[in-house]
Amino acid sequence: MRVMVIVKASKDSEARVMPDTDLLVAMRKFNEELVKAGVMLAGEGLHPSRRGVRVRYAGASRTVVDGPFAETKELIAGFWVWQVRSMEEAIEWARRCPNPHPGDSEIEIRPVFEAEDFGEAFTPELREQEDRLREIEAQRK
Amino acid sequence: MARDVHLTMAAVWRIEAAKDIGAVARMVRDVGLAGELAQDALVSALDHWPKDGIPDNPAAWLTATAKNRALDRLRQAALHARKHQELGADADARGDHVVPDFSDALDGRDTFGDDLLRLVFAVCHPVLSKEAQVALTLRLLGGLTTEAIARAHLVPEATIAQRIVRAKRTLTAARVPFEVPQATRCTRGSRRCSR
Repeated sequence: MRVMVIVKASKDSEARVMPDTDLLVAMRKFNEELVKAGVMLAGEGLHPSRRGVRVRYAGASRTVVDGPFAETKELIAGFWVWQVRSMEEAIEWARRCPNPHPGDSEIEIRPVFEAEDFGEAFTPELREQEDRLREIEAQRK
Repeated sequence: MARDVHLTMAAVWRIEAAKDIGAVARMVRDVGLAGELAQDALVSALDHWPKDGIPDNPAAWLTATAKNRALDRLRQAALHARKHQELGADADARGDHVVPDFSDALDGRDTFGDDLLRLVFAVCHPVLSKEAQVALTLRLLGGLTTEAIARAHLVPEATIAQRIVRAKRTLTAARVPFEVPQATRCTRGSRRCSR
């Protein structure tokens, strides 16, 4: 199964306080372990919310709101996508992750929807199209 | 949401098994024995964790348990060695006995990376047949069950189990050292090492 591992933002990440060398080294080692174990599918850090925008949908209208956004607790600073056999395995890997921020941090782990989860609405035609899209994407890399 | 103890243990084992076995192998100088001790620790976890809850650091718990059992074995081995001496056994017999280095064993240094490398070389040692190397590697380094390995090879589980038991015995009998071989012993293109 796949999970998204979301690193919640903090005052530091919003203030663009960059990780010190020790943390960078520790993170690199951790990411290496993930790659070696065949767990790592993707992982990126995100710029603070003042570099971001929100697009709001209401019926046919679209509203664009510039960052920064106030509720730090609701913001994210980075993410991974991992391939694991169970949530328990994702949790064990998360325990081994170095603290991503200088202060207290939170990481949220959410299972990723797979084709089977969509049920009948995800017709065989849609499924085929999705597979083809993923193939093209994979070949581009 | 209740966390499944067994799934957690399977996850911890999958992540830590090789390092665990490597750390113990460095103490007992015997890959087969190390694998056994590490699995004993896992069995012990199966007894304790469902009752006592999963420890905060499950990997450390498993390694500490396996190392304690290893220390017990080492003490026994040292005791035997001393008894041999007392009984006036000849010098050759004493030389045969691997009297382990206690200061090494009690050294708390985290040398997991080196141990892992030593383990890789041990399970790929040319004294083992290719089949045996593969089975042992999948078991000790990959953390796969004998059932999973058997399915992948389309053979009965008992065949793989036997293969692994014999491989461990071969390594022990051949006194395969738990070390990274020096460059001269493993030249590129050498048939022995390319197996």
